[in-house]
Amino acid sequence: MNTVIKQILQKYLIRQNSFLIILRKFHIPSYKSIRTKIIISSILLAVFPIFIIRVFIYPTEKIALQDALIQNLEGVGHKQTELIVRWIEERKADARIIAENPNVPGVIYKSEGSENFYRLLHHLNTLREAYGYKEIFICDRHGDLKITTSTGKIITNVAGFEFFQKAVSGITFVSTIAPSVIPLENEYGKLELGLPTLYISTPVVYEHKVIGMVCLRVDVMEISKLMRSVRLGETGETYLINKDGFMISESKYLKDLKDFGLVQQRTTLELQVKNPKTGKLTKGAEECIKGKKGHDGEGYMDYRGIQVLGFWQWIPELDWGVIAEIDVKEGYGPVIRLHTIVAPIIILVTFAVISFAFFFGKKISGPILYLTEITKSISEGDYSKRIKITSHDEIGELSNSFNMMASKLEEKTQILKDYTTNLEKTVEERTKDLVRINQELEIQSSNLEKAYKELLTLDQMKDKMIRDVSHELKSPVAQVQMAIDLWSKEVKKEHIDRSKEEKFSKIINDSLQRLRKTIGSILDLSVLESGRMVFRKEPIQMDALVLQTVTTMRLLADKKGLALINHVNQGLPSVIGDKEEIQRVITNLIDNAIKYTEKGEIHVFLEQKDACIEFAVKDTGIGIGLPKEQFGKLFERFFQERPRVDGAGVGLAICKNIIEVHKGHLWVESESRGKGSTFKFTLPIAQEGAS
Amino acid sequence: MSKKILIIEDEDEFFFFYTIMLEGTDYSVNRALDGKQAFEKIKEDKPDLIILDLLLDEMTGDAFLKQLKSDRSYASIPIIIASSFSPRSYKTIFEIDPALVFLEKPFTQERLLASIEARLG
Repeated sequence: MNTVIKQILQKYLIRQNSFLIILRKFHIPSYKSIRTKIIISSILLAVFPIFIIRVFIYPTEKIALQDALIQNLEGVGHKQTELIVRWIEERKADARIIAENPNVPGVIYKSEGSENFYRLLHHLNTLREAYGYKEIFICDRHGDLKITTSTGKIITNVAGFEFFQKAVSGITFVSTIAPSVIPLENEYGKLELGLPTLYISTPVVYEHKVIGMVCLRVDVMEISKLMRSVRLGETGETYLINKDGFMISESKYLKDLKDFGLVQQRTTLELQVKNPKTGKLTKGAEECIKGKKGHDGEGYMDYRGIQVLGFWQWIPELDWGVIAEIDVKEGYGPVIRLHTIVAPIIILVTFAVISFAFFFGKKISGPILYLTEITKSISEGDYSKRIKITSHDEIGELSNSFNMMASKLEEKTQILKDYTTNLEKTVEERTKDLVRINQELEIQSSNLEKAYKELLTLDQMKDKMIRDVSHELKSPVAQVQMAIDLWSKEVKKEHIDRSKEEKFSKIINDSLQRLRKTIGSILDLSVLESGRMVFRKEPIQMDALVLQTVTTMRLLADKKGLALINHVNQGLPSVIGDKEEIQRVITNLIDNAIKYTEKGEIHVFLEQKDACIEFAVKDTGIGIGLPKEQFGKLFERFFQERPRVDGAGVGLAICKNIIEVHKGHLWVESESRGKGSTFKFTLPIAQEGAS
Repeated sequence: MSKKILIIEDEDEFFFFYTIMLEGTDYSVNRALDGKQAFEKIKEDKPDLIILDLLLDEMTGDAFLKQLKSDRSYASIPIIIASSFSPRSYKTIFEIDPALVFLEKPFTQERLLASIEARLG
């Protein structure tokens, strides 16, 4: 069960998928869209009544029409039967009336030529003409012909015929329609053997005895006329068949049948009512000869091969069947016509409805799709889009509301955008400010750090200076103290070591010298720095002064094995200043050169440079262990690069102070440690007229 | 066997005083002019005691002490600091070696010998 449902579902899904594929292929919007819904609904609405008409009303009407048709056919059939029976009865009555004619027995008993005979013949001829009989004849009880209206070939004795035998047995008899045994005049006025004939016979009774028979040879064409007296539409006809299924009346379509070669002369006894396709009796004929009464509203094939509706009834007293048939085409003509008219109308209406649905669907869904598109644009950020729908319906109202909403949205978005832009700008500006402030702070911080470091360095330098200076002061004191202490101990011994005495004495002397020198230098510097120092202003011949000093210092250089080389230019202009102090500077610089040079040479230069006299002392000593930018420190007071050697570290500070007081400049040049150094100073040349 | 004392002293005058003061004792004295020279001498012949003047040219007393204490083989050598300054000026060196003895210049022979004995035990 489940698998069946699954299969059905799968099939349905596959179909739906292919339906969707078709939809996509033809660019038909999804059946979920409003447009499609409208289209589908309209089509359903349009097609539903048509469907109802086609499925319910049409068949109902068809059945009703069928009933009416059958009733009509039945009515016609019945009427025909009635007509035939009555007509036959009338013929029978005719026969009986003739039999009762008082001239008949005389004619039977007497031979031809009597008065009775002619009177009767006249009467019979009158009857024949009046009622259209082919022949009226009377026989005696042996079958011998006594009188006949016929002028042609006749049968003289009819004792062998059934109609004679039946009549003499006292029955009014109607024979079957059978071919004539003698040539008879046919409807075309020609003699024809086997012409369909119908005999009606009745006995002639005289004095309660059957003395003979009256027989009427009926014109079968009269029956056909009778059959055609009731009209049955255009194609409808009523015909009679005998028990062998042969037609015993004339077909309405005789001409066509003749043309097709189905019959030679007539249909009566010539045409067996057969379906030309199957070769069997038609349904009507077959059912009829079974002695049944019935009808067929659906249609069956008649002897022409055409679908007909039929009614059939067997007349047992005649052994004839009456069949009424009408072409299906005509019977259902109104329905078919209606169908033919209605079908195109339905198609047209459906087409119109579909077109209208498409148009209307598009008209309704168009604005919605357009709205959707605009909404999408807006949702994607294009707030400038507006809906251009001016209709006065709900869509128009929706569009107006939507446009208002879009306008407000645009306005709000613009405000937001402006605000955001401003905010961004402000944030950017503030950030810039912050960055700038931060940079400034960083610079300040870095400066502060630098200053702090400098301070720290200065502090450390100060500590170092104090330590160095105090060492320079304390160390000789300690030496003197310890020397005295140890010597005191020595003198208390029994054997005094005199060599020690000399040593201690030297130590004490040197220490005191050192102490005096240090204290003197410090005092000198303090006086110099206080500005209370008074300098003499006298012209100084620098070349003479330098030469003199070099000569004095040479002894010290020689002592250390150093060459002190003089490069002094003679005849240089004089400078103004304190000669003693300038010499102190020169001495100090040469002394330093000797002090810091272990071996090599010391060169002393003096030359004029522009408006200055430049002095230089160049040594090959240890050089300066400081980076170039810190060379200035050498001239700071108490600075000691090498504490033990430098003394109090005030010598260069004093020199610088003196030179600067003389409006000169003192500096040092050195490549690097170990490569010697050159101390230089300049003094301005004395202006003429200056004292 | 006499104890070996390494005296690191750049001033001849003070070294002269050391030699006078230690005359007639059982200590053998060796001299280094600076820290660098001192390490060479220590490597050459490990002393039992080091007397150190804190103002040294090539290597400060601090640096010398740190280097000495970082070397396992020499970290245990007792140290006497001899300086013209008071120990208050050198608080940091006690952090390097809390056991060291500070001898402020000028000092007497007795003080020196007592200090040496105190360190050598």
